[in-house]
Amino acid sequence: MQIFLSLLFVALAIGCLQGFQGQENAPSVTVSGKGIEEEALKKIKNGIGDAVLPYPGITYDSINVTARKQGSSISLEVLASAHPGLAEGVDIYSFIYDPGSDEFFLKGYSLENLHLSVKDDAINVALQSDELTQLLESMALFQEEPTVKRILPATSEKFYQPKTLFSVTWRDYETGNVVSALVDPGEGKLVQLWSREEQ
Amino acid sequence: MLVVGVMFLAVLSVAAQQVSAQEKVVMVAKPTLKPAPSSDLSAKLWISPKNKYLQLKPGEAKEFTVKVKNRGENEITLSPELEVLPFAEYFLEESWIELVPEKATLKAGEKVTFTVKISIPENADVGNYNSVLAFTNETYTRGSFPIKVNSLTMGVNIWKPPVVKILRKYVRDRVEAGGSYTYEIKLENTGDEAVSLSPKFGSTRMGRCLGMGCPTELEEAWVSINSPDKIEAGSKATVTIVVNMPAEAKGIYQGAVNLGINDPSIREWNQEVRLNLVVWQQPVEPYEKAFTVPEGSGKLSIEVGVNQHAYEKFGSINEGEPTFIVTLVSPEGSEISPSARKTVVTSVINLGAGYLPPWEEESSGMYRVERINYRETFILEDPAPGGWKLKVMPSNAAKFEYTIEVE
Repeated sequence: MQIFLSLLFVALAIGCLQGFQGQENAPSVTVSGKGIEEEALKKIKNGIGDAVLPYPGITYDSINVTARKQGSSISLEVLASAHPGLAEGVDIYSFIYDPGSDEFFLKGYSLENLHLSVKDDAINVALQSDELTQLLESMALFQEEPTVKRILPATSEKFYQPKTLFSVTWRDYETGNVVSALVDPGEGKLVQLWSREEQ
Repeated sequence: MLVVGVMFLAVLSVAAQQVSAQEKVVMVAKPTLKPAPSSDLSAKLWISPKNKYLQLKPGEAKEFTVKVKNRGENEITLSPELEVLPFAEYFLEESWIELVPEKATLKAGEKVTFTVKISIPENADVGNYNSVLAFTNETYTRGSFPIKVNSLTMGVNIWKPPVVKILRKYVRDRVEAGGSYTYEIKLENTGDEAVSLSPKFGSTRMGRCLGMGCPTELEEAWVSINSPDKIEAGSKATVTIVVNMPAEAKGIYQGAVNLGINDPSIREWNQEVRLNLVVWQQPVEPYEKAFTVPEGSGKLSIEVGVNQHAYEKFGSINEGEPTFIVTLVSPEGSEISPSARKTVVTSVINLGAGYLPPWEEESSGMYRVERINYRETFILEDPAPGGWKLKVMPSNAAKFEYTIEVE
């Protein structure tokens, strides 16, 4: 999986490196990192906009990068969000940046920067499932507010098909009960269901 | 694999509930089955899988295989037959199932692979269909139900993509007693024919919370519904639910509005809009606490704060960070309103190890805000000795904590 993600982002880095700078409505990018050469920080600032993947229709308003030295590479924690009127929540990416090749490798992500209507759609697709609603009922999760996270195709492929999906998750922090639905927004259907119940 | 297991539990749960409702027999969701002693069974078969669960639309078909091995010492002829489960919602019809081969004779140690093809007719109703494919006639009894020993249990969830999309299926809000709240439920008809609507207050769901500690049921008289009687093809409609909370309301209230959508692809109980309303009354008088400042004290510190879930919000009433107006009443009776010297916001961050769905594993080790803690500190230098009073007026907080520290 990580190899797949890495390859995906190598391609992104190579293919799109020049595309972000100078665009209108380019996000405000801040990069901070102790003990990292100015040249590397500058390259990260120039390249990060093309490595991140906002949800279609969304343009990030701000991208904040925290860089840390990790051997010969640099690990990056990236927090990106669109204007609050356009989307809510934060997209978090974890990259490894190789200063030698100027490439970004995606290590992990948690993508919640979505328009409220997109989140509502995903929740409602999930709630069409009898199995899900029965689980929410039996695990007393109906009163919890679900989170909606975007799942990138490289991950989705493992569970369904290589396309953008949504993970809609109900969680009770007190009991530890969790129910999550993997939703295909294009087909408007739930494709996988997962639950964890504390005994 | 895990998902399949979860779905089966759900099917069993529904089945058990239906038996309870119809026959007043209490059944558990996970029945403990005790097979008859093996010496009673002439055919010792190994069957894999023992359960198969599919999701199919009307008109769809799916094939799967089942392997059967004769673990006994005698030759056996298998003539698989379809049996109905006594507690199923619907039964798979024999004509929907094709089995190849139809029969098989196995010597000791031999095995055979059957191909089962399930074809759902175009006119099948949506729902959970269950049946048993029995390879032999041996039975044992659970309660009053004879159960086939050598069998494959098959479940098919027949579903259709809903023609009408319900864009909001639950309302969670914090409301004030005596207030009136309006919630708009938007619907979209994606089909080519108009669909009728007849929303009604009330739930058809089973297994609701009953007893102490459960939310109170919303009363029908408090709820009014305004809805068109149909949604035209390819268009949107809005159902408006107005809830008038009585002045004496307290605690948590729940209820549901069944949208009454004439769309057979949506199960009746899956077209409910659930309402969960927490009644909240902003206090008009501050909380008061008397305390004593000893002689020679140089500093009085008051810390007020609240610990909230990241998703805790104030809904229709307000949204925003908690605030506290702190007033101190001196021994002489004069009121002092100190400004917050220090405001601290701390968060509990969960890295999600072990608690994430498998498709969120890429976010393992990443930060997720779980709780937020707001603290404000008020300091008064050289407080006069004697009896003081602390007054705290909270806002945007359903609870708070305070600390009085005298140095």
